[in-house]
Amino acid sequence: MADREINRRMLELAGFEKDELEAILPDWLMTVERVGLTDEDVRVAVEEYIPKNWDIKYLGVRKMIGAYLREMIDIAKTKEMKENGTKLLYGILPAVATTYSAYKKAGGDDIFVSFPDLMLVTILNGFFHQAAPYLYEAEEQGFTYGCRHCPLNKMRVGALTKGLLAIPDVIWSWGFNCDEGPKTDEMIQCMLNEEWKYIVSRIPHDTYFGQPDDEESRITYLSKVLKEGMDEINDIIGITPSQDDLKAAIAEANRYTFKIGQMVSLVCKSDPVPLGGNTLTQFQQALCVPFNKGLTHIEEALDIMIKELKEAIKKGEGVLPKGAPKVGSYFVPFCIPWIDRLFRENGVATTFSQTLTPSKSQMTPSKYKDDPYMSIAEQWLKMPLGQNMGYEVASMVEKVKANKPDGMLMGFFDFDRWLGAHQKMCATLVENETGVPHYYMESDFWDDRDYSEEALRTRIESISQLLCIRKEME
Amino acid sequence: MGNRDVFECFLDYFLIEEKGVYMPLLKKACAAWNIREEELQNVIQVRMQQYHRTDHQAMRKVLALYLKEWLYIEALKENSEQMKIYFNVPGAMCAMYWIKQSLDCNAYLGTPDLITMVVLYGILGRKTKMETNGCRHCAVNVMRLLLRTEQQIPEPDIRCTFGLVCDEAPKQDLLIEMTESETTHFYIHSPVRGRDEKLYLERQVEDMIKKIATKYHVLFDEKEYWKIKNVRFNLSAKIDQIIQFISRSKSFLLSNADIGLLETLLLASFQTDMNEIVLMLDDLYHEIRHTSGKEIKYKFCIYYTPVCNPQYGRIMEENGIALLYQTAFVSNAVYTGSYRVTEDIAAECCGMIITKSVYEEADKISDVICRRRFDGLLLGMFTFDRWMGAQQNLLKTLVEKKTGKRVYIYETDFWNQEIFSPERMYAMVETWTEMLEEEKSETRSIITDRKPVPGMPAEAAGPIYRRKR
Repeated sequence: MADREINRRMLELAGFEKDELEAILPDWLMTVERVGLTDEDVRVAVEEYIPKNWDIKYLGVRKMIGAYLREMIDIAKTKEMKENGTKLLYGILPAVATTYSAYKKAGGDDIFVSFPDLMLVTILNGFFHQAAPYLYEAEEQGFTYGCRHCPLNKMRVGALTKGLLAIPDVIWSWGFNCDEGPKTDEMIQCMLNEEWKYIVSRIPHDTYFGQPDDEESRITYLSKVLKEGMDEINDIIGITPSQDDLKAAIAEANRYTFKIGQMVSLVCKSDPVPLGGNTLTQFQQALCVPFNKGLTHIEEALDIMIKELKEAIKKGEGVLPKGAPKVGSYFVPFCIPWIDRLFRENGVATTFSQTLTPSKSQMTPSKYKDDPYMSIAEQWLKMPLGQNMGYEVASMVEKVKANKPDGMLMGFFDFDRWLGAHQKMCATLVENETGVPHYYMESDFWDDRDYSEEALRTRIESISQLLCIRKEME
Repeated sequence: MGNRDVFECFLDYFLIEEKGVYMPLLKKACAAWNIREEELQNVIQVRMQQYHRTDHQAMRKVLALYLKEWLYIEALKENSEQMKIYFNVPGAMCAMYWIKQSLDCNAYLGTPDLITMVVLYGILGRKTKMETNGCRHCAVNVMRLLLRTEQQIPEPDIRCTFGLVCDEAPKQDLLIEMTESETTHFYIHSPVRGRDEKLYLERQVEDMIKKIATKYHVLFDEKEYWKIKNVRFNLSAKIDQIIQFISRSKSFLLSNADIGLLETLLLASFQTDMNEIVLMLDDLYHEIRHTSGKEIKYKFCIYYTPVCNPQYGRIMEENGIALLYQTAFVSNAVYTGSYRVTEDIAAECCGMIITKSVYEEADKISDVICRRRFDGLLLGMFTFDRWMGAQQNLLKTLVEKKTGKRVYIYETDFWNQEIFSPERMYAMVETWTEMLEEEKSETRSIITDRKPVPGMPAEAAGPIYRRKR
């Protein structure tokens, strides 16, 4: 039986209080047991790992952690949910969360929506540094270590074969970036003898370098792909989101996007920088990952965070002294939060992520307000992640110019055949266009089994020194 | 060799007669790739005898086919007028030949990445490893990029990128697009699976053909396509005839590496006329009918014999294992006679068994193993590949269950020898053959009645035998 005291402290740290804490404690104790977190793992998280790596002086950050923990509690209950007739709809990254939100609005408690692999890696590695057992498990199942498969795909396999995750009614397997995710689902289906139902939706990726991906004909095509996917899901689970559900989900996503834009702008334009890139990116993730609890808790945390940021800025408080250089990233590796800390220890603040920071075009109201499928497809094709490199680089340049970092940090996806080489080339193109120096680090965004703090410290120290010298010279 | 020029000896060895053409090209290629004369000497004095049956004149000509194709790349660099069409593999071969023929019979149509890999690593035995920067990218993709960034091949007029298995190649070629501002790029890959896949691919092919026709003001004659299809069929039938003949033989009439190169003729395109290649293979067929070789003890299917690493096949041969059937080339595409050309091209693209789910793949492979009575299957040469790597354990389980035959996995890299250790592989294969030998002797001594498993072909059930006490 998990120790109540240390787990109570964990929940307190995550922003739970009084009755709410007492009510959720039994579920949390069940969760830590099922997930395989020991009392010592929780103690290390509460006393060392989270305080060292996250800005928990802000209630907004703690509440954000709480919103994620709620999702892990639900994931740990998927087997009971299934037994009780709740429909399980999973998905994978990258995606837009809007369609899932619409299903949640239509089905309420009769449906569970999540990207469980992503949630588990984010929570287990981001807050507990404990995703490794699931990744080892997947490697035992054939996802050989030497092949450097994406840890998210490994987590999906590992969480299933370790018995944590229930088999869903259906998984919407997006291959909007690369096709490794759908291939993994095909393999899981073969392993389980057809029980693992998956629907694949993909985009053609046949635009030329620099050609807009969000042209109307492409939006129309994708809207049909989305509708076809949803029709298939409706047939399987018997829940059909109405036009109003879809529109409400779009409106909710637009509202959240706007708030994210506001938070990024506050952080990037302030000196001293009031918040680290880990938190910033962790909040942004809700744009492309569905929360089974909806945006209720994460948005509450975001509202608190924005308020706290304004106060901190007014008081001139920051995570580092005024004048410290700041870096933007392709994608701040929040699953390995000690990287952010190493930069801070060397006098550099991490800030925005290229991938999840909305571009101007993303914040522009949709042209297709009356057609939710077109609107969602438009949302998707405006996301930099699915675009051809030339078009993505244009939005990257826009964000660098808007947020004015002293340097940009690329990398952490060298294992990824889609993003690995892509990022190296993007670095050169954006640097040429903006004059902002780009630095590249080879490591894994999700999984740090391959490298240690000490291994990266030297590289981070040298990048930081360069940035500090440049800043002083300015 | 005496005082004769190494380059001349090299061309003589491979029976390349047009020395006026190929001698300067060979010298340029050696300079471009930093290949020393001693290396060429080693190829013809040691390496060929080690890994290939070059006692067959026709096999030398097959090897020369690859060499000439590689050398031709040097000629391309100087010939700015010649139209150049590149594509990657696996691609829609008939479609590519049709495009070439419709545009200009003298156009260069090629897969320079594949040819360079086969020649540099397979035939010439280059030692330098390909750097994949820890990501273990497919080395043939890395080579395609290097050929352009290192200016080893000129910018093409047309580049067709196929992503029929995974989408790593199209993603990479988007990066190559940056270095090729004058090139017309086409991307053929299917974002859908199932019933719409063929239709989607057909639309992509139609679009490509239409754009080429408009841009270059050419007409595509459908009759020409069917002629190409017919010759390709002859080529494929001839390769199969040779392999079937070896499968019935008790000795190695060709080396495992040779068989791998024969199958690769279906994957790459050549400047040499396809009819000429068929005749060359016919000569080979007649030559091997009158020779013998080391004894074959076990006949195996293999996913694809690593043609860039002939040591692999050699170690198998030394242990009596013949690698006779490359399952990566199995296709479900059946010509019905009623297809439109573009429909046929799409059917060829989505009929490849390697593009299917592991279930379909296992069914088809099991069928081949049973029908042709192979002793088992070898996997493991694509462990670096995220599409094929992870599913090999599952494929093994499924095929073993369906056929009752042995499926062995030896983890290596088809293209790149970053992790290859001959000693380790030798030890592993020795263990397999000991196990196979033991099983064979048990089977010989105590065969009992077979009980077919419901739903499984009788020959697939294999002998059910009692264990020795």
